[in-house]
Amino acid sequence: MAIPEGLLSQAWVALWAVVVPTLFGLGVVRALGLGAGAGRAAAWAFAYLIGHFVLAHGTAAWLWLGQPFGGLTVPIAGLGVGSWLLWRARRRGGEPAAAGSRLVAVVIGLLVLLVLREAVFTNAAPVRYSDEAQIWAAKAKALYGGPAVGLGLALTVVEHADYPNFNPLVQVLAFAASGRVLHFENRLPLQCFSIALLLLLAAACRDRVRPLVTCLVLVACAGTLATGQAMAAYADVPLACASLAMAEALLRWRAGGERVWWRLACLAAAAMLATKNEGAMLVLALGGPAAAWWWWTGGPRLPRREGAWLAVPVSTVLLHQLWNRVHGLRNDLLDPALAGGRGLFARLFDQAPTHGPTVLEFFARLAIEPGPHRLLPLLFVAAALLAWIASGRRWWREPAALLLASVLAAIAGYMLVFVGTHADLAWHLATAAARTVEHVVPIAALGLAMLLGPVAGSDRGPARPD
Amino acid sequence: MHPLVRLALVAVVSWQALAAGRGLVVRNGSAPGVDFPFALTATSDQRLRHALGDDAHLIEELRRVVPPGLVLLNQQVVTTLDGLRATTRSEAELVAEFTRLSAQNGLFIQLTTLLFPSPFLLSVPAPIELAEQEAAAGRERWLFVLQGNAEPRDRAGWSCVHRAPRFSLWRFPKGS
Repeated sequence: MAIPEGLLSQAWVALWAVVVPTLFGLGVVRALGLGAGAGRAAAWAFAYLIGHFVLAHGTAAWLWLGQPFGGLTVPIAGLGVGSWLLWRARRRGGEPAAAGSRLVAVVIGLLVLLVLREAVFTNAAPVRYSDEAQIWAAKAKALYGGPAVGLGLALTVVEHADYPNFNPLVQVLAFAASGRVLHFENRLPLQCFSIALLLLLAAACRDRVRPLVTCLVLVACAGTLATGQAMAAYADVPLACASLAMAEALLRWRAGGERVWWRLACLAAAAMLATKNEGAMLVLALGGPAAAWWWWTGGPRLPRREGAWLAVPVSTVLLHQLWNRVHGLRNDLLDPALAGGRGLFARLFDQAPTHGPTVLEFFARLAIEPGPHRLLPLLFVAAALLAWIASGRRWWREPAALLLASVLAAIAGYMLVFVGTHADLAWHLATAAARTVEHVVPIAALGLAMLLGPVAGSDRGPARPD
Repeated sequence: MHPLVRLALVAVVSWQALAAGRGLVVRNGSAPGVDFPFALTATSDQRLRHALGDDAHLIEELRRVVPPGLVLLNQQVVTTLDGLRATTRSEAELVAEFTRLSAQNGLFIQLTTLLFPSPFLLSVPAPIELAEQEAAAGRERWLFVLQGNAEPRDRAGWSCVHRAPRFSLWRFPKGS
């Protein structure tokens, strides 16, 4: 019996744009020093994120060179390099694999099946409307098929062609592997970021949170970040995943002082910057409080050579700026020429009296609307306040305090962006506000879980210098 | 934190997890009317027809009749609410015209998205004039005219190369 074409096409994309980047990423994170002691969930989740992020550079180089070899070249090269790195890591041996909770493993297994079912249903319809079609898939198509009509001309039908390239390059990998532009299956590698995110949340809760509470926040989180709009080819779930990865890596580095976590934090930050412009704000919202918290509580000292890893996020920003400059692309939010002669900060001050109250009211209503976030940010803030009242000043030395500061900074940042919008405020809030909150839901979920089901003796104090 | 307060918060998270879990289990994807075997095995053309209905025929026919690599110019939907008010006589007429133009705009977006890379449908404010300018510069573009929109039948040099119930294709050769 012949395999149906639809199934074959989805399986093909799953192989080359999901499985191969994961194997490649697994090799990379093992080479960076992530041992089996971190647990399987952490390894697979970081592998998926970092694998795609690093492989996207290979895809970009392949496009830049004019697609000189077949489209499978990049994933096959990724498979080869990843296998070699894994083989080297296996030869070195290392710590024994960490055992996780069986209950959490079962819940994760069920959630993965439900996410895949949701993905299959979503992919019955083509990518044809809204931002997933007009921004992200349109840019992927322009990058991959653009040479046929001219990249400059192809970019004219892309809304916000200046947006970062990570999401489009993930889709290009699916196109290249299939040898054609896809209209359905290109969502699949992006949808799998929902799975990576759930694995990452489970990994972040491991040895910090009781299994039952971990399961509750996992299911609640899956209700917003693994269904409905999250299954579209947007860049919000990849950004939420990368943000949680950065937070988790920073917390693990502070707790254990292993350099691999610092490296992973830098790579996750770069992935955030390459995913959406909001990633820059979220990097600051995580990095700023983390630096202050380090200074105050005393974290591990960073060896001078490891500072070089900061070049990864910095070069990501520079490469993106260069790409935009080469193609004459500008951001409408930041460029005064595209927004009535005023930049974001000028608008922010000018519009604060008129827009400020509306934005506050909208976010207040959004905070108590369960659908977009299952109340996780609100519950986290409430639980943190209660924990602070109960424990006093020393509570601010807890890891959850860093997560609280980051969540509050991120939401405040988003509110300021809406105050400074050049678009119609009601429209902008209605179409984008709920999605911005999605970015902080996993971090809020982790913080809430830490407060509600803490495991005695989990990472409270800073590690000694490595 | 007091254990009772913690318990209360865990109860709220449980309630939300229950609601989320229920949504995950009973949800039927974002494509209503699609069963799992169809979603898993249908070909791209079958899925396209299911999602787009009659509009899928437009895509199939355009792919069939337009030479590969050609750019199709199309009349962009360009209007404002004030502009619509000025050209309609009643609120009902305004709503009807707005709905028609909105649907047309949605159709053009889908055509551009789903036809890419060939033919490349580019919606512009003045496609007839642009096609003539491009032809003068040595680049041949065809014109896509959705039924009901203006055809260049009275302009010199234009010829209809394909006519279908819902659209026509027009050509203005290079050097005309």
